[in-house]
Amino acid sequence: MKLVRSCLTARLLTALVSVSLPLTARAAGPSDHWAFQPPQRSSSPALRESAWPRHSLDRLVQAQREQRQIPPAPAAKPSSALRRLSYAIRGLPPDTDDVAELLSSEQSEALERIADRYFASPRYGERMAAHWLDVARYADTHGYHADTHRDMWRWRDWVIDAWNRDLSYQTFTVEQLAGDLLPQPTLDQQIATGFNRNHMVNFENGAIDEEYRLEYVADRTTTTATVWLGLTLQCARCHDHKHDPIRQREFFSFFAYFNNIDERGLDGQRGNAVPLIKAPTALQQAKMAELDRAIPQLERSIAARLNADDPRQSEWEQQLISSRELRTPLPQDATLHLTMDELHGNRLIDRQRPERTAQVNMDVELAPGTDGQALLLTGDVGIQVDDFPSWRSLDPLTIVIRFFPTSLDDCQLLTRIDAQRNEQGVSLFLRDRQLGLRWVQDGNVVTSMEVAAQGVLETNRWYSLVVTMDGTGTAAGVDWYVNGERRANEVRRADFVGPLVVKEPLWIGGAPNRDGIRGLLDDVRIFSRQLSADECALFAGQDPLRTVLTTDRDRRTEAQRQLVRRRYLEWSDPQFLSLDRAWREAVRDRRQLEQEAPTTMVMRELPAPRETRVLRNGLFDQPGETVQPGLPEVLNRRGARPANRLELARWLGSADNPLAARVMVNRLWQLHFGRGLVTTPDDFGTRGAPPSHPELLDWLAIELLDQSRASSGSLKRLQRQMLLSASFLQASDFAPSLEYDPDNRWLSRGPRLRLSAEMIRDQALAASGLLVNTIGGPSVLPYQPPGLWEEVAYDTQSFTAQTYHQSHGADLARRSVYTFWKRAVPPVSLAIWDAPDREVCTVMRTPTHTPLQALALMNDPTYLEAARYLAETLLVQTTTPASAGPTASSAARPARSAGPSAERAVWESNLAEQIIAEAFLRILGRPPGKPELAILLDAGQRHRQNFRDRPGAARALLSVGEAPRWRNDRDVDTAALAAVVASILALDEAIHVD
Amino acid sequence: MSIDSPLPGLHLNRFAQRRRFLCETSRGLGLAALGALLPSTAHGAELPHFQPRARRVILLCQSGAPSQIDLLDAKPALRDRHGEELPDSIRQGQRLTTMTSQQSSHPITASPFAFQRYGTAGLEFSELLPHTARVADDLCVVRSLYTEAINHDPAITFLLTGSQQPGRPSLGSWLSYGLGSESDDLPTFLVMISGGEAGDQPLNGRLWGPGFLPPRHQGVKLRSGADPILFLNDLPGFDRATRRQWLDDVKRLNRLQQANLPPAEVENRIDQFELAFRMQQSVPELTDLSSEPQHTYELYGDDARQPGTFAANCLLARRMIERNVRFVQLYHRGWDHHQQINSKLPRKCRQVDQASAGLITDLKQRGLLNDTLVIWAGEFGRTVFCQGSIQRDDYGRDHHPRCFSIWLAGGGIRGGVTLGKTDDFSYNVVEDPVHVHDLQATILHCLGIDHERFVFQSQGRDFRLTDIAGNVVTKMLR
Repeated sequence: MKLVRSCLTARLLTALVSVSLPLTARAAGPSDHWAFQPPQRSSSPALRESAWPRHSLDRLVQAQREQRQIPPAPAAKPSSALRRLSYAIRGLPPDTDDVAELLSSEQSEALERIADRYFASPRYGERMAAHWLDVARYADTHGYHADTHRDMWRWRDWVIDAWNRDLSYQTFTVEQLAGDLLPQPTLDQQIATGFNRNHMVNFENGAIDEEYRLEYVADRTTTTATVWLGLTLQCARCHDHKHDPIRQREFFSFFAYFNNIDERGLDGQRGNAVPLIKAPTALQQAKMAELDRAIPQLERSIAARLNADDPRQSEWEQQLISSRELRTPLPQDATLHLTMDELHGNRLIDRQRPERTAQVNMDVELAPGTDGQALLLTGDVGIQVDDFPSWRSLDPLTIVIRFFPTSLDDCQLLTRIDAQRNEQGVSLFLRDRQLGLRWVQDGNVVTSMEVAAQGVLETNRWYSLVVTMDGTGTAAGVDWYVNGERRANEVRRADFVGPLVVKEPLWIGGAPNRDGIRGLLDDVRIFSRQLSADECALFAGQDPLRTVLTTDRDRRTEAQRQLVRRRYLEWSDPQFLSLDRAWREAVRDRRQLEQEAPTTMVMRELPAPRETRVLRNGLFDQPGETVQPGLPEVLNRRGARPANRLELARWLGSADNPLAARVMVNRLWQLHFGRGLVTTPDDFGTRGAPPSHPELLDWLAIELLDQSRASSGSLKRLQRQMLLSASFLQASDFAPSLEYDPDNRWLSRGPRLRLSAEMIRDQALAASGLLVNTIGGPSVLPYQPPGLWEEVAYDTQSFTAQTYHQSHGADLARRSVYTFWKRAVPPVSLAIWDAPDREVCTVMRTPTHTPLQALALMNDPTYLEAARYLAETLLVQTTTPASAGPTASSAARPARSAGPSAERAVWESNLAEQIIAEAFLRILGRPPGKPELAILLDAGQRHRQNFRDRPGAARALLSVGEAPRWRNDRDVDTAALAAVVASILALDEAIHVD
Repeated sequence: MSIDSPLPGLHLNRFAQRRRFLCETSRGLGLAALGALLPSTAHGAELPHFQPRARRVILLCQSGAPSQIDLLDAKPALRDRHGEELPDSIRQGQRLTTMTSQQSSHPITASPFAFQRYGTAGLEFSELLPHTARVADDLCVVRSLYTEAINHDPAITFLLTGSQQPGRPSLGSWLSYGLGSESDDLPTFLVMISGGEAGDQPLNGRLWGPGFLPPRHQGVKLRSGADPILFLNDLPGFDRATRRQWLDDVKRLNRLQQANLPPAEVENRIDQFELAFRMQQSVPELTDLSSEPQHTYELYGDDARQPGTFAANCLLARRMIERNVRFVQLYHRGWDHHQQINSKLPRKCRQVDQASAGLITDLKQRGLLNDTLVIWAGEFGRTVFCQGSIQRDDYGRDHHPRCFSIWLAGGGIRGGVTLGKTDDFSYNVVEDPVHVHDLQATILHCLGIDHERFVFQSQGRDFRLTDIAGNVVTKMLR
């Protein structure tokens, strides 16, 4: 590890420094550092200018400005203020209705009203989550080496929901850090702990487990310290901290809180890494709960009927016994029944459905069977059944085969597999003289269920084989009957997950490239239900029902009584049949929900705590003294001794921690103002920047944790105070302040911010009307130039997230917070706009200007598609007010225009002007000025001329993107307007809020 | 949102602003006043620290780790001990990967490939590198490089960022940040990838990522195919004239807004569009090889005609260097030969040997080698012992961090030199050990940078490419 050398040298340096410079940091008394003291509430400052502040926090801003004789900037224009609020709260452009509302009413009241609406909108949670996902290093892949997929979107959705519910900051802290340790934690509280499982996970072949496990613990330690303490604790991993009063021992004491997880160092090859839980979505949970109510009810109804007494039953029994029918008939509801008696050429007829045939792959001979003819099979004979319905692992299934083996070499009896996909599917076979059944699922990795029937077969005797499956996809759900005798299961493998749908052709006997059974083959039946034991016995000539019927009623066992009763009800009571069917379906649906429910990685404590030792030089293989969990002393004025992670989390989120609230409010301030009150959000230590407004920072921190309020810990309320302040709502273009406050440290003007990566893309989607507002769910894969994953991929066959399978339809227009985040190749549409790779915790993004961003605005199809869609929507709506929505298929171009009444010249009238002004308003939140409109109209005219000369170019432009076209045949006008709208999306103003 | 800059979204300190002014006056407004191209010296010291020997770098990164024993570190005497157990005195209980640590036997496996001496200085090369051997007098072969990581992900991350764990800037990003650009219309730091069959070791964006440096210092991938740089080609419906008009419209609208903004801010955005427009011209010119004469392909090999091959990328690297790109990084994948070295290694060598040597010759002929540093290296070496058991025609080698061989050439490097020595088993370094941080320090040195003074503050401390170690290896230098 790098740490060996670097830290040895570091120790040497430390030694040298302490010899030669003993008085620098240490003697200054770093424990007196401002950030380690509890926040202080300051008295309201006396101000010369008292009309400007809207809010107490403005007074603290104003006090600093007055000290420096800085005049306040005028208020921002209403449209700027609204756009600023809309992005700050929702991450989206303001709705045009909101603009209208603001312009038609008293401004400050309207702003408050609209802001409250925005805070109440679920878009708020998505916007805040986009920020928190950086902090939490959230991603959809593991990050190291092959960088395969993981499923942490349930945690991501928890975050969105937490912000929307306005979970108090304390609860937000406790549930994410230690929700698993709360008494009887809810599913949501367990999901929340995914925060500290979002770190990278490795399974590179050859790596050492413990080395990486300790790396994960170190990541949790470091991230938690950065996020809740604003401290660079990681600097004390290899040696005592150089600048802050934190000893290496204290690093490992803090580390100890996160070192007790029931995890593995090398994991994640099959999706999520342990510990993980099943985390059904709210919808799945609701359906499960409904079924959990319905199933027992059904069972009670069924049991009531089974236990009731019915005088007519004995009559029925008598009738059966005395009937000429000596045997109970075989079940008649097979989906397939091949008798081998009718061979036409090489075709066999399905008795059950004569229109279906089965093709024998070569000429075969017939021989006498047990019932009519049998096929004489050499090992290469296979029978392919045409168009057989698919099998679902969740549905019960019974296969009945009668055969006479002349050899017991390994062979297939029945096969339904995809050889190209790791033999996904089902097969019934003989191996080592034993009957075996296998379900294989090819997915992230290959999983399967394989069982064998106990006991070996013999050659040259007839076998009646019945194998039933109950639809659980588990080994326990498979039952074997060989010549009527139940055989126990030997489980070979049992990691099949399901659900799986098997659609491959059904082969009986051999299959392509696979040897089939040798000997005689007689009847083959397939049932799409699980036959009961008494039914299975019928195929071996036994008749359990009849046996029972002839047994005296008083001497029947309970099982026998129930069997007869059940058969009677099936015969006599149609309601019983439907109840029984409903019960089976409910059980299957419940199982399907269980199987389909996503998993998510969580924190789970080991039963006995793992010993934590100081690692010399921070190295996994150099353990030193044992340490107990504990807090860094310098922060722990009251001598708290959190015994475990839960107590630590409670302490971190409490007022006893001098830093948590300060660090949080500073991050939010930075998010909204573009510059933190402390400009080093990840370092509040002695080397970090001192706060520009210490009183303001403390005031906000105290506000957040003020227990005297019902809204204690409300992050919505705190941000409402920030965002409706005069400080936030000042004009940002106050030129004089550039002179005396160039970096706006003293808040001499309002913030002018580059939109975040997510906002830039979401703006185009929202303004165009394409945005799909579904909340949550698995991550989606929007447009991305082809090949970016593949060129760095490992083995695309064996590992997930190596090949980019772009989404289609609605998933192309989801908010960017739902974009699949592959760490090795962060989503291009976001990375270009300075999104981080999320390998480690990021508390601040740095916006830059690059030509690649210009190219993206020019040529990322996202923007041209949005421009096209918006232009066409407005064109069609303006010319035909009652127009229907876009056509479902972009390929199907309507021949007719919207109607002759709509044939108004777009450019000669003021229609083009209206359309452009509306697009401008939707994107920028303000109407265009005259000179702007003139430029845009002029541009539109030129584009129109150009496209009229090149109609192919117009069509080509309109073909960009998969979003459907409207019914509209004005390609030239649409393309010209689309080019104009694309230029609005590319404006400097469009990618900023000012 | 922009925290460390006086002008939101624009990272210019005073020095950079002055530079920008000079650019504007000398080359016309906007030209080169471009975020991605601007030298930025936020660390406070003007770079270079001293007279550089190299101005540009080409890194030929052989991902997966080529076998030094079969290519550059000749151990003919091992033939006599072939199949014998590796002595414990050599292994000294050092860490192995879990792929071979459970093997009951670690048999010595001599290279079946013949070595010969080449050039005036008599450097030794395997028969698998006949072309490289011909430029022996330009090369400094280092046989004593060693690393701390034993698995691919941490090792290649260590080589490229100076740290095994993610989060640090890559070498190219450091150079972009420290030295800025010399090109008006191409990115500072370009990355190309070749190889990449199923099972080849994966790559990761962090190897050309900016870490905690401003994101614009990220390497830009140049890809073979229609869109060599992401979104370079205009979408259907736009021709050059339309695009020009469209950009002019955007420019006019942007200028209307700039009255009350910092003057440079909107201009900077306009400049990015102008540079993008120029890149739409300059990048296709760069990648258009139709003007390359026949003798170019004689030099690089016919593979160079096929876009996306290592050879084609080498040729592109030369064209980039001609156009003053600061840092060119080629990744060639597929050197992770745990099995079947005897068939796989010759094939891999054929893919890179002629083109690597051709690049050196070509640069030299054009007078570019003097100030271009070329490095050919993998992330670690391979074991002298066999992974699995030795078959007659089949052997494999596991990862070996204790020594590996690379070569350097050009800007500031002494040619015709073999540096360092390993023991008889190519297992431990016995002379002139060169740590990865030493190599990084030496690369920076060639570029006129003192690696100890080249720092960036993040998370409360100064970070360096070389962490807190590294010594310049003067024996490599001219």
